[in-house]
Amino acid sequence: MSEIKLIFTGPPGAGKTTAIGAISEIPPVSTDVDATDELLSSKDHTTAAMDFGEVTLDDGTKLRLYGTPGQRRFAHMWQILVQGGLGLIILLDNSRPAPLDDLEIYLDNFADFIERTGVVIAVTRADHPDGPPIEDFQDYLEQRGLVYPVLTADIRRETDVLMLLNVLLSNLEFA
Amino acid sequence: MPETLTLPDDFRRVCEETLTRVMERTQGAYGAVLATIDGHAVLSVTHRDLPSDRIAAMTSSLLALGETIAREAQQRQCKFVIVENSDGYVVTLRITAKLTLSTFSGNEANLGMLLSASRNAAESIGKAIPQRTHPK
Amino acid sequence: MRPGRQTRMITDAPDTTLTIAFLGLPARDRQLFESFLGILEGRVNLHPRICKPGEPVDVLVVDADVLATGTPQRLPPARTLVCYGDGPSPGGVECVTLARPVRFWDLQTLLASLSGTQEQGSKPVAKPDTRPGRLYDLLSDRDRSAALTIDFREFTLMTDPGRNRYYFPTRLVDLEPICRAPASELQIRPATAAGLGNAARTLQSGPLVRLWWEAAISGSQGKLPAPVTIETPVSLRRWPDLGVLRFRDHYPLLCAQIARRPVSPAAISQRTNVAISDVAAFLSACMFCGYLNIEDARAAHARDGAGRKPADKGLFSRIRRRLGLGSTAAN
Repeated sequence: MSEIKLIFTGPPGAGKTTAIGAISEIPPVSTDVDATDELLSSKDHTTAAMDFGEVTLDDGTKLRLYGTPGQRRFAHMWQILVQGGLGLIILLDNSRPAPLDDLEIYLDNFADFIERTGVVIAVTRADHPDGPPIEDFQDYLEQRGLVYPVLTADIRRETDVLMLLNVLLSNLEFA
Repeated sequence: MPETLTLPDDFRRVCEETLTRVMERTQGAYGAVLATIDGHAVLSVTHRDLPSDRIAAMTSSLLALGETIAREAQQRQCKFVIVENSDGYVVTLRITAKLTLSTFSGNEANLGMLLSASRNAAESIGKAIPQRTHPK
Repeated sequence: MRPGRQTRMITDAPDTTLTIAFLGLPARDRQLFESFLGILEGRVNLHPRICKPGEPVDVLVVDADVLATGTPQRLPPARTLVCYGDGPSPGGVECVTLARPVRFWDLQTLLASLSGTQEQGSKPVAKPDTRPGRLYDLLSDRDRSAALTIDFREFTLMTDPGRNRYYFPTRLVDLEPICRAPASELQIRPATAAGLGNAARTLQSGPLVRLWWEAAISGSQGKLPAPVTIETPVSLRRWPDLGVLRFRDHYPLLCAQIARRPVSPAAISQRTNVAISDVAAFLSACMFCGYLNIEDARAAHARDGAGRKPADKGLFSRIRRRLGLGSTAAN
């Protein structure tokens, strides 16, 4: 394996940068640019190329953590970043207008990669009053015949990020 | 295109004239795309069918990476990125904190000329930006 | 108070009605009392209700400030006076004190002691239940799509399938005691809409699947869920939301085993080194929550081994070690 890397993806504001920052041993490298569009209400900056973090394994191997840009117009980066990746973490923000549509976008765009590797889906801000319950995400996956792990998580907490990785690794290793 | 990117008529005219001038005066140039720093196409003048929306997003990624590489190399402020290909060039440069310009040419172009024309165009557009015209 | 409720049928003890009135309480506190009383309304042997005008008052709850500054002799007559909140001891007035803000179990304990039908702080008296098993067994016999009230010692839990929530008092945040308790300590009965509404306003809530899951984990006692046998291939229909369950290290491992293809409990245990009793508890919970498929043995055999190419086990172990995720039993 030329490079060991995990990829975090999901819509803008779902917490990809935060999740990488929670476990990276170096300060996360971000390619933030000023946001000029609808994001302005919630975020001043948005990731245009990637976020990057790193964890050194005990044999010196580097586990690289990449975050993709959120907006669909940066889909060119999605395909570049997943090359040679070990697995995918999709972060969804349940306070966005249509989180299930978001899920569909990322599942479809990363379908080949997920099929070759593995995925874990995390729903953040799961208790948001306007967001669908977690059962709706499970129903959606079941309707598509997909048995993927979908979990509620608060990615500001390191333990939750580690739980996602735990699930992903189990899935990669034993599924 | 988001509403915030609607340009006042006067400014739009200046941009169109400036981009057209780059194309006319630079041998081999076949396209110029004005975009926001976060990847929205604002305006384009091209002689070929270029996907300006996709290009705008990609050049945004490119400049963001340039900026990040500069920081890692303990340098500051990425001003432009040149992509040299077997049959042409792409020059992407920053006009202001929020606007970028990308120009495209075949390999018959002189890279120095293309870069110079692009920088002059960027300067002209930068000067013409009215207060509060460009995205907040 | 509706006579002839189902709850009366499960007890031989006499009912006691307590009429309650309030004096000088801030609106918010009064609302809190009324909500708690709404929940207590459904409990056996204890029927507190707000006093109607002109009716004799059994319990008068008076704000401590009123008692301290007012003239106690002018208080309306009541069998018991309850001083609500901390304040200077009202001279010459015999009263019981209740801490502010009122807590559910404090109120229940107080009313239970006043009703004289039970020991202070204990669960309302019910016929001893000699059924074997635990909450899991009791729930297995019930229609869980209906809202339920579960009494356990001094606690009351309510399930609200419509909202996919359960409501619980703070002190029962750990579900293990109730899920491990013998059936004799539990009473399950239908919940009323009013009771649910009150519970939603006044108690804490959590995702209902957490209760179902924990009940099965703690209650299956090493038995596989019927009709699954040690050789029956099973697969996941959907992953449990491990973010809301009480997480145990082997869950992701077991889920992964059966996410892509059916595997028998015996094979799961063998491949993962997870004890068969833990595999059984896990499968019981999956079944109880509707996450499990039971497969045809022959079809399963044909599909077995159709997973991804073998992964680099050493790499995963190294990543786990570095992130402190603990090695899986199979590593």
